[in-house]
Amino acid sequence: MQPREIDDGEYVSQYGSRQTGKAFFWDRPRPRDFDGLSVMIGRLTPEEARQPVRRDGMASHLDGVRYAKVGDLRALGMEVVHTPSRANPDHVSVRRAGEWGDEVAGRFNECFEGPQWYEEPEGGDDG
Amino acid sequence: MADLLLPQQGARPWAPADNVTVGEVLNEYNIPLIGLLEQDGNSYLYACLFGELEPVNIWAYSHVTTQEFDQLTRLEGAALTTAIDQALMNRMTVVALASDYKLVDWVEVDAGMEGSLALARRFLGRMRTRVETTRREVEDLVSQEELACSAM
Repeated sequence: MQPREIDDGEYVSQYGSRQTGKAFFWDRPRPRDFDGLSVMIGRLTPEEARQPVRRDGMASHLDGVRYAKVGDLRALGMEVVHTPSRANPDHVSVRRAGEWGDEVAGRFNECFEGPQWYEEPEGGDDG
Repeated sequence: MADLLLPQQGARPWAPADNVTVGEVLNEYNIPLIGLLEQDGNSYLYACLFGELEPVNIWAYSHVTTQEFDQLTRLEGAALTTAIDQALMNRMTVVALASDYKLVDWVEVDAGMEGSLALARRFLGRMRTRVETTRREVEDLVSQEELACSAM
């Protein structure tokens, strides 16, 4: 599986969750010895964004996604690199050399539009 | 059982003991979520069963055969997903709780064919029983006359 170049005009999707009761999108690496975050190529639906991340279960109102233009992330000094795996061919790493504290996290969040949350089909169980 | 992974408290879930050799990461999202390990000449698949984004999560460590290991290092896409699912079924598995990306506690669970979420639920039932038993035993000790004085 070969990585490809990602253009500045392309979008990436970041999967998020309300599993713990509030909207949660990673805006900095945790744990601290990691230097990057994961996103995926393209504008995915919440269901599509969930699939490579969660091992089991069905998409629900707890699953969300937000979108950023690659050029906006690069303008922050972020490295945006296609890092496919056999399980997730659309995986992208967003890395930054140096400190990734509150200020950088805030600017990272500003790059994103959304989020969009999965809408349960009518008659479905909304948990 | 000799072929069960032996984790260490405080270790990263994707590198669960000092004496493991970390192999290929099969899937990552912010952190390694599924991958391969070796310990004492045995091969293991690890997988986050629940809490992939959240700071508290549940992990499974499953001993895999040479044939399963070969499949896990070769397959892609849906076939890989199926191989991962099968490697987490029908065997004794170590299932662990991690908080802040450090292993806290674990139990051995006889994994059937129920899937990751059901395995995670069964693990939580086992852990709840263990925690409640420990709490009762501690309360019993605290209430014993000779210890009660120093515990006050």
